[in-house]
Parts: sequence; structure tokens; C-alpha cells
Amino acid sequence: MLNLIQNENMKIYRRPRTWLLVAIMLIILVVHAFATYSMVSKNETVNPNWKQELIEKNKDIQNDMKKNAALPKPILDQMEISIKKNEYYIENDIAPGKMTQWSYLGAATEVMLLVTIFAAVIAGDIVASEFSGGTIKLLLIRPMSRTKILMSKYFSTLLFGGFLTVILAIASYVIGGALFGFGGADQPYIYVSPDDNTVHTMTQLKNVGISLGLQLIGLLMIVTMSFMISAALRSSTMAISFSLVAMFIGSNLVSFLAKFSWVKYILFANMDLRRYIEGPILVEGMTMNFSIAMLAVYFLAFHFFAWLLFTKRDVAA
Amino acid sequence: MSTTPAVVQIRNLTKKIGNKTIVENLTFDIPRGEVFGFLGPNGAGKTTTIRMIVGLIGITSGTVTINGYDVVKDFEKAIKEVGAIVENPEMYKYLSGYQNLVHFARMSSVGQDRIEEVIKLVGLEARIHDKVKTYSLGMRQRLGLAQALLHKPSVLILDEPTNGLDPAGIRELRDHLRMLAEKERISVIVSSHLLAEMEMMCDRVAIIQHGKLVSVKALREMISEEADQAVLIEVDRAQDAKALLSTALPGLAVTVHGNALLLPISREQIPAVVKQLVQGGFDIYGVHNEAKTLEDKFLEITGGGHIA
Repeated sequence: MLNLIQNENMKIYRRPRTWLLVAIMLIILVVHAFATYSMVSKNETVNPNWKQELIEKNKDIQNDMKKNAALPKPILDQMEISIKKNEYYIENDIAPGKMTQWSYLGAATEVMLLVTIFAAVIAGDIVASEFSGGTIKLLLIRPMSRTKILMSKYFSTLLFGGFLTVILAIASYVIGGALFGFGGADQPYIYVSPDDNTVHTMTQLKNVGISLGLQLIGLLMIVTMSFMISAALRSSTMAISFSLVAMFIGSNLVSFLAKFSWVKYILFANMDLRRYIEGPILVEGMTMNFSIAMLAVYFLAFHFFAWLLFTKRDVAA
Repeated sequence: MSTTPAVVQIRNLTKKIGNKTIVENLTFDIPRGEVFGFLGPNGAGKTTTIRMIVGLIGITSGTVTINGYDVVKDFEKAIKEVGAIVENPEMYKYLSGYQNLVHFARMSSVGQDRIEEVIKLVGLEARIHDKVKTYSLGMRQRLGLAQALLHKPSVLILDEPTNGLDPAGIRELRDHLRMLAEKERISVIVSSHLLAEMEMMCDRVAIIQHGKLVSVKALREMISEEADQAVLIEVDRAQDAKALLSTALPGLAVTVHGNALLLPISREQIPAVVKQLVQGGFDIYGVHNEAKTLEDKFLEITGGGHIA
């Protein structure tokens, strides 16, 4: 099994394409960091009037909410959360938008979406490319079961996702430190809990940890889906495009369909576990445990189909 | 025919896809140390049969046993001693030849010494560290052969192995295969639609057509059956010449083909017939040997080789 994973790693990292993905990720991370930096420094120049600004901002949001009362509930909830946060800033005399290294890291976890996309690209290709290149015929006539070969490919894909995550973590730590000064892990992070509808705080360190963990769960699901399509349809194009479309359209789609209760059984309604910490809840009655159970069901189903179609079907490529 | 136990046993092997039968009821044995040819026109089911033997596709009915292990029930044990190239030798193009061999060596626990040995055997030392995408088809065939031999298999299966090889390469491959069969007692299964090649390489040949076994014969048998040879003699007055020979050599079945006579005689009888004709005052323009080649035989057996 270790030999097989070694082989798959060789096939991933000996391709220039893989390093192109790493380079693109780093470039986007740097652009994201500078964009964040320039926005923050602009905020700081208009610092004296921040309370007045927030009050006006809240009025605007309230007007918007009145005008667009027909919007789906999760979107209106999101607006209300913004108002509550702004009120908290005013009451407690905390100027928002003051960036530290760790609050930047919280924002940089969004770049994990890119890691997810790139890991999905590798996942979509890792089985399908053996078919399109014809090498599957040499791979499957060895004294190794198809199940083991499939598993080695899956683990290698996850390792690649982990590898990108580690690079992202190190790079964003260094960039964040360079731009905003090192430190700030114990500063408060403000959020509105959906349990009691009031403002809570946690440390920035904890927030970064939770964000990263949640992004990794999303990555695991998308990568597993892409891998399943790759193994089942034997087409990298299908695997990669399906998972990307699902990723970008999925979460919006479920927001708009939130008025139907069956939406809660769709994968994308359950992928964003952050909703249970900071709201808004998508469908009344959905809980963290329900979503975790749904994710587990999808995860197992993806693996079952990938395994079934990879091990049982004729190889006539 | 050899009496050593069969390394590969094929029994009633059948493959159906939908209601179309691709391979029907094949049964044959391949003993140790034999080069076995698998001959048939395009679309006859050669590659499908090979895919079933190596477990790439399912078997509808029948069995394939390699070294006593059923290829479906005991896949890992059965395939352990099989080296194969199925259709084209497609390798990882973005890796070097050497990396490709390391890749397959890891799957069968083969050491570095053996990798070097195999590279020398197929004569790829000079280019082995270049990327496979820079290789010619002939070099890819060599690399394909190298990966098939890495784990010292007792059965070697090669699907159209001479594709893309130049004449020197074909000759070298032929010598390799004979050496492997005779010295290392490897059983070799070679598929091809090229007869001349099979004639030089194989001990026995199975001919299949429309997925069915038409005949399995030792090559010696097939060639000796060709004793029914004939001689074509071009003369000036064919009909008169026929009349002369019929009286001079009674019992000889003479037929007229335009300006020529077709006689079912052996090489030794040619001078006597020619003498008769010359003495009878006929002018002879040519004497040709019309023996059936293995190729005619093949076309005769497969009925002209229509694509199935």
C-alpha cells in the first residue's frame, strides 16, 4: 500500500502542472493579502467618524431589509447579523476593521476555497487520466487488488490537499506577519450566535482554527465527489467541471430554495457548518449533528459508487 | 506436442456484451516454454481474449487458470507471474522510462538490480532517463517489454508486439522471445495478424475468427499440410499439351489455366514432365511453383478475413 501511494505521489509531483497550481495559489494569496491591506489602511484614515458611519450603515441595511422583504430568509438573517455586530462595536467602543496578523489569517482561510478547487482538479484527474492515457491496462495487471489501487489514489489526493493547506498556512502566516505585524492571536473575534441571537466573542486563534477545520471538511466533501465522478465516469473533464459547478452554484442554490424543507437533504445545504456557529440557519430545525450525519451519508455513498464502478467494470480503454 | 503441464489453461472461455458474442467457447492449453501464436483477422476477438486472460474484463462463462490459480477467484496469485502488454505499450509520458519502470517495479517488489538488468536486456540504456514522450514507437515497445519482464514472469503475453518495430527490432524481439522460451522456460502468448512473423516465432498457432477457435496446430503440422503443392507450366498450346500429358502420364490430374497447365506434382517430378513436353514439340515459357503459403492457408481457414 505504501508503495502504491509512493507511485501516486510520483505521478502527481513529477508533473509540471502540479507546481503550476501551487504557484497560482501563492500568487492569489499575495494579491488577496495586499487587497485586504489596502482596504484596511483606507479605513484607518477615516477613523474618527467610525461610530457615525456604522450608525448610517445600519440604517441603510434596515432600509434594504424593508424594501426587499421578499428575499429568502437566510439572506435577511445575514443582514440582521451585520446590524447586531455593528451595534456591538458602537456599544463597546471597539473600532472595527483594525487588522492584525491573526484577523488577517481568519480572512485568509477563504483562500482554502482555491485549495479545494485544486485538490478537486487532482482528484478528478487521478483515476480518469489512467484511462485516457491507456496506462490503466498496465496498472491493473499487477498483483494488487483494484480496491487497493483506488484507495492509494484517494489517499494521495488527500495528501495533496494537505500539502497545499500546509503551504497556504505557512505562506499566509508569513505574509500576514509582514503586513500587519506578528501577533493578535488572543484578540476577540465577534460573532452572533444563532442559539440566542446575541453577540459573542472568541479569540482570533480559535476562530482561525474553526475556519480552517470547516474549510477542510468542505474540501474533503468536494474532493471525494470529484474523485467519485473520476472513478465512475472515467473523465477528468466531467469530474472537474461537475465539482466546480456544484461548489459555486450549490450554496447559492440552496439559499434560494431554503423555503422548501427538503432542501436540508441536499449536500450543499449541509456543507457550511459555520451556519451553526454564526448563523444564519438555512432551514428551521437543522442542527449541526443533522448536517454532520448528512455529510457522512454522502461521503460513504461517494466512496461506495467510486469503489463499485472502479472495481467491477470492464476495462476496455 | 509438449507433454509438460499447461501453465495457462483456457476452458470454454466466452465473452458476451449485451446479446453480442465477442468470444465463444475457446479452449486451449499453453505448456511451459512454448511460444504460442494467437492469429486472427482484425476484430476476431484476440484482444478481448487477452483482456480476459489478464483480468481486465469480466468473463461471461468459462475459466482461465494461470499456474493453477483461477484468474477471477484468485486474481492476485494468478497475475503474479504474468507480464503483459495489452494493445499499445502506453506508459506515463511525463515520466522518464526509468521512472516508469520504478513505478511498475514497486507494484511487484522488484529491486533496482533487476531494473538495470531489464534495461540492458531490451537495449534502452542510452535513452532510459529521457521522458517517454520523446520516445519513438519502437522505443515504447521496448519499454513495454521491459515492464512486462521486470518481475520475471512465467507467462508473457504480448498483443501485436511487432507494431512499430523496424526489421532489425522485429528480428531482435523474435530472438528474445525464443531465448526466453527455450532458456528460461517462459510461456509466451503472442497475438498478431501478420503470418510471416508467426511462422518464424511460434511453436503453435491458434487461429480465431468471429470469436471462435478455427484451429490450433503446431506450426510444423500446418506447413507439412502444404505438401499439396502444385506447379504451373506456361506453354504455347495448352489444350494440346494437356492431351499429350494425359496419355504420356496417365493418372495425373491436369487442368488448363489460360495459357498454362496446373499440375499437382512435387519438385522431383518437374524434369520428367518438362522433358515430355519438349519432346512433344511444345515451347515452354515458364515453370512456377504454386505451393500454398501459410498465408493462403490462413485466408482459406478464415474465409478471406472479413472484419467480424
